[in-house]
Amino acid sequence: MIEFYLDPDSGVAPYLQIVRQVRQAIRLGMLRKGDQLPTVKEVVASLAINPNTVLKAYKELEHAGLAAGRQGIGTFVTAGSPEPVVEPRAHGALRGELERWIAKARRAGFDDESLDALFRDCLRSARAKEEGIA
Amino acid sequence: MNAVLEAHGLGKRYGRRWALADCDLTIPASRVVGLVGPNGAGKSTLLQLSVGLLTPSSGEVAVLGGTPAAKLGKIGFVAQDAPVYAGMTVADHLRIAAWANDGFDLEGARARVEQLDLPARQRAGRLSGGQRAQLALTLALAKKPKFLLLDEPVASLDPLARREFLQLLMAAVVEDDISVILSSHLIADLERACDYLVVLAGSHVQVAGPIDELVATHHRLTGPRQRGGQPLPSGQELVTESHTDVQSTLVVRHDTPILDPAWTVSVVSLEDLVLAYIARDKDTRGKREAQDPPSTPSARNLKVAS
Amino acid sequence: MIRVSYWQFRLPLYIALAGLVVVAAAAGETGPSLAHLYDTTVGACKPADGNCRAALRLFNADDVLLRAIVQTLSLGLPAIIGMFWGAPLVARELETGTFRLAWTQSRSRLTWFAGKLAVVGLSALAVQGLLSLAFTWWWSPVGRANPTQFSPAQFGTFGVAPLGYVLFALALGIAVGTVFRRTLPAMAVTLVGFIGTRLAVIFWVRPHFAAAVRSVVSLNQSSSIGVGFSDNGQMALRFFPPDLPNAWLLSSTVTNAAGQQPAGSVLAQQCPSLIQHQAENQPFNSCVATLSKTFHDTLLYQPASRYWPFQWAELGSFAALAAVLVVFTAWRLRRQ
Repeated sequence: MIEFYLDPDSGVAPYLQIVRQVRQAIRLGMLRKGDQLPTVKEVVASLAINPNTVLKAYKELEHAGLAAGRQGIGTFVTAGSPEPVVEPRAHGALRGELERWIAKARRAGFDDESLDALFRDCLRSARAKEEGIA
Repeated sequence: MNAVLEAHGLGKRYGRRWALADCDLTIPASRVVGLVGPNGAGKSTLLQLSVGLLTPSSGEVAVLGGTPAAKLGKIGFVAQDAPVYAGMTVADHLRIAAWANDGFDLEGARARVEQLDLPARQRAGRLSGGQRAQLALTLALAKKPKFLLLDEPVASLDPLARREFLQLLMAAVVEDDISVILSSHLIADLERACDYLVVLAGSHVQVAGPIDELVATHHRLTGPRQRGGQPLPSGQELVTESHTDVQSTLVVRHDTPILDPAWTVSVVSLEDLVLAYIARDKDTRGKREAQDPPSTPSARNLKVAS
Repeated sequence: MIRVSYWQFRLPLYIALAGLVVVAAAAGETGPSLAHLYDTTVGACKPADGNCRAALRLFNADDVLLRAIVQTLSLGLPAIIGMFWGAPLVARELETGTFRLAWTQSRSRLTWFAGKLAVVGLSALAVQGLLSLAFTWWWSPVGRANPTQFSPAQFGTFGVAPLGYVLFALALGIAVGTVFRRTLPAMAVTLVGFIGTRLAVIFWVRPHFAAAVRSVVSLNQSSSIGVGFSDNGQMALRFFPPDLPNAWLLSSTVTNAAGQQPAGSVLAQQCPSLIQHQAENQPFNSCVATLSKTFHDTLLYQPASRYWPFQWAELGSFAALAAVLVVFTAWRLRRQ
């Protein structure tokens, strides 16, 4: 049975940390289709976290098609295979766009470091939008 | 709506000083509430008013829909530093608690005590701080309460004791569906367990609400230095701000999405959110004290001019 | 809450019972020999033989220390109970913060208080009552030999009055502890308050439980008469009032019909021969006979028959004070 941990300083919401740990476990083959995830009570008692956090995580996993709850018994893994890989054609198109964008930025005077800072800032904002803003 | 705690205009005064003032709170059931604020903010006072250890100087408080005295059998309380009778053994504490409460789960309490490795014959005065806290929590839980109030339960505990205490607490919460309010001056202690937050500072409630909602409606805006005094769009409320010569940082509460491209929007951690409200209270009080001397509490002015 | 209070109080109670057993054993050991001593001295003397004074002296000289211990214990026990059982009752809980545990169980504060009061109060009454019983039994030969049971020094030591004292001391300790919130200062204040109240009652209240009996007696009946000289060389006579066994003499004043006390000049006038022949009986007796024509002794006293009514009145007064203090404490606790 998988054992969860929580990193309070990671900046990632606790429920997402649980989701990611399940995803990782599935990807690495530690969790297979049909395996049972720890009950809400077990997770709460070992991590001392709010039960809603666990419920939210499990709901998210259900939403993503990775797990399913069975009334009165528990939550079980439904997808054993790793997640679908990014489409290879999308890969090439994105790469081309990125190269054109870098050229544009160079013309505007951006060096490697400022390019890096701008990219990381945008990624952070995008993530914030994904994760929270109404 | 069934609220476990309802306060209207609740206040407690000692001489001229109001330890708690103008407290209006409605806390819904089935939550784990974190009551956070600096020392002396009124957290202990609020909790003690809610269990009937203090009588209000103004306003009223209701728990589980009734007065604290009426609902004493259904609420559990652990005071700061978990007071126990130093001369009595752990087993004695369980015994007299069973006599002093109807519906006390003595067997369950004994099982828990054994599970926690608390020596039953040991005098409570010889227990460590963590063990005392666990004993006090066991006594409170064995009452089978619907609402549990804990006053700084982990403040003086080492990290391991703190974790063990919270584990004991959360296991019981999930098993018996208990509503909890626990106070601390460090949000970090409570963050993992709580889903509802009440911030107390300067004897007043600063903000209260489900943590999900608070985190979703508060963000940090950073951008180039603003001249200041510019009002924010409606639906947005400034909590706190700071400026350097080139940069401005605001913490803002908003009901509508923030669309202004001039700002970089980022997430505010719960700790920073709490600190922002504490800072705002300090600012407001400082400005008010500069204008007139402290007397009775007045209504808060929420829009702060910079 | 009685069970709870008993369980928390059981150690002091056991100690007190153990002490009681020790005292009872000691009393049982020494009591019979004291009674025997009485029987062989004062009990056996015949006034006609004139040896009763000597017998009394012999009896009274025996084991003075033990008698002093008995009196001290009997007088002191209420104060000790008030300080050690009363003062900490509420104060200890307030001091250590355990009231935050005790008052958030399912019972109200007043229920909690009533339980404690019942257990400690009944224990105090039992301990004091049994002790008083033992001491009163032990003391009875002394009381027969020296009938002074109504005197202020002895009145509060035996009988039922100590039950009132212990209730009062306990209630006082509890009330003071509730107000002061600290055990040690409360103990000190309880002791002072208890002693003060006892003295106040002895001097200002007890004499008025019933109107004193006024009796005028001839000087010839004085139990003894003494001669002395005042500072300015004047001769003075002192008249000791007649013996009123087991009664409480409040005052004895020698006056003439007009209410004046005999001045030194009067004495010199009426008893001229006394100045030169002080030591001789004849001038002495004739002087007294002369003076008794104009002077008499006015006694104010409570007769011996009133001893038990006074005991009950004393018990009732202190019990009433205790009740007031208990009500006050209950009010204070609610108000917290």
